Parts: sequence; C-alpha cells; structure tokens
Amino acid sequence: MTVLILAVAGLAVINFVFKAIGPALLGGRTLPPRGQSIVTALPPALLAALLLADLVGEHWSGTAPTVLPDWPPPSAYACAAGPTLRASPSRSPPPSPSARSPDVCSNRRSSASWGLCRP
Amino acid sequence: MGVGSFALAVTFGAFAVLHGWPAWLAILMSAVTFSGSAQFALVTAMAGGGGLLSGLGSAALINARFLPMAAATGPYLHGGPWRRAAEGQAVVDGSWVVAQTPDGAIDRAKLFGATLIQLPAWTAGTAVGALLVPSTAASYTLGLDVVFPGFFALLLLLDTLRSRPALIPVAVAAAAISATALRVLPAGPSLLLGSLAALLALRRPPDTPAAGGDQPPEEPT
Repeated sequence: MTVLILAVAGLAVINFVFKAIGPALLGGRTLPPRGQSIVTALPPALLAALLLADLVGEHWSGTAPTVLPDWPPPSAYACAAGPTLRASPSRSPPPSPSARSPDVCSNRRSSASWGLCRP
Repeated sequence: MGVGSFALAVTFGAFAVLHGWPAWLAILMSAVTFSGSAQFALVTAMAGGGGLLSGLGSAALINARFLPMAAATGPYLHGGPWRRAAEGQAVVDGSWVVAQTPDGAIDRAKLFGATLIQLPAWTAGTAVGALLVPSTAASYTLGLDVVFPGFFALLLLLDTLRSRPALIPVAVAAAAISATALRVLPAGPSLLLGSLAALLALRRPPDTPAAGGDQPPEEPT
C-alpha cells in the first residue's frame, strides 16, 4: 500500500513540475521561431497519435467493434477457415433461404460489401 | 469533452481496481494527478512487476509532452512565476488543443474552462469505474468507447487541420509513426513517438494560418 501511495505522490509531483517549469521560467517570453514552429505543429501530431492510440490500441489489440465495425471483415475469417464455411458450393444450386443453415458468410452485412466468400 | 473524460475515467477506475488498487486510491490519483495516459501507464507498469521507479519512469516519459506544451502556454498566463506555475496546471491534452486560436495563440479562458469541465468529470468517472467496475461489454453497448476517438477526430479534421492545412503531412506522419509504434510498444511511448512528427515543422518556416482564420477575406475580383 505504501508503494502505491508513493506512486500517486510521485506522479503528482512529476505532473506539477512538468507543467510548471516552462511558465515559471519563461514567464511572458515567447519561444524562438523554431520552437514556436514545433509547438504549432504539436496539436495535429498529438491529436493524430491520440486518435490512433484510441482506435487501434496497444499491440493493435484494442480495435473496438463499435469503432471499426467491419474491420477485419468477418468474411475474412470465414474464407481463412476454408471451404467448409462457404455459403454454398459453386456447382450446386443455392439452397432456399429457409433451408439455409446459418453461416458466417451469408449472415453478415460485411460479407456482401467486401465481396468475399462468394461461390 | 466532459462526457469523453468521464467515459475514459470509468474505464480507468475499473482498470485500476482490477489491477489490485484500492478504489479510494484510484479516485485520489485521478483527483491529484489528472493525467489519463500516465495513470494507465503507471498502473500497468506496476502491475507487471515493474516496481515504483519503472512505473514513475513510464508516466514521466508519457507526460514529457507537457514540457513544451506548458512552455508555449506561458506567455498567455498571468502573474509572477508562482502564479504562472499554478495556472500551467490547466494544461491537459484536450484543453490545450481546444484553446488554440487560428493565429497560434492560446485562449487562456478557454483553456481553464475546458480543464474545469474535465477534472470533475475525470474524477467522478474514476469513482464510478472503481466502485462499480463495469464490464468492457457495457462500454461497447453504450458506445462510451467511441466518445474520445470521435472527439479527437472531429477536433483534428474540423478545427486543427482546417485552419492549418499545411500541417496535414505532420498529422499523417504522426498517425503512421504512432500506428507502427503501437504494434510493439505501449500507448504512452507510442504517443510520444507520434508527437515527434511535429519536428517536421522545422523543415519550413513558421506556419501561417489558412484563409478563414484571422486573415481578412480577399476582395472579389
């Protein structure tokens, strides 16, 4: 518990110093032009990085289904799994909708839009 | 911004408790540090057996971006060194970006206002997450996970890049760098690496705002 409390205190101090040192030392002086150029470019760089971090997550594992609903397309999994998961064999007549068993290719909106898994 | 902060804080509160932190300490951390990505990094590093120094090192690395951000804010703050140091605490990612004006200055009132909205939202969200520990599925169902990405995307496209189209290559480079880094690194260092794309601005003279910023409209010919 003591270590955790120390961690919180340490982070609070680090945060305070990082945000305080610039305004306290520079006062009302502006940065030199080159420094100002970097600072001007920092918001779009930071926003783009934040956006990517939110979208793909660490190790690309955080791709939220509500953020990227069709990526990766479910049909890609179906095709990768082999022909047994395809909707229907190419030489047999397609089954009627009522007789068709549920499968990953025919029941997903994205399979049509990506054009995969078609016989 | 308050809704986005709250949603992310709920996730952090649950994340901290699930990693062995007492709920009260997670809430206290949010109240006194108010540093989202650094808080996640601290909890992650310490949960992974990294220890106190490792955790604080990760958090410091992530928060290093506040050094130039706060320094650039300095001229727009008031008072002597101590007061400026105190006012500099209002610098957080969302507030700092929102407070940017088309001519590159910083709107002090907007900076404070945005932070004053986010801080209670962040603390309250942490309390909800730490005490209730909602599932990730609930976050997906309610759409809380898209609030912050959506906010950042709108801010990037409609505000920052629209007023400064010359900075589009910087944003593209930052996205590419951070996406690549995220494949192998945690979010904090990836964020820092992505921010390094701002160095591309050294290749050209200081940016001038696009038309529609503070430039007078051209006379029709």
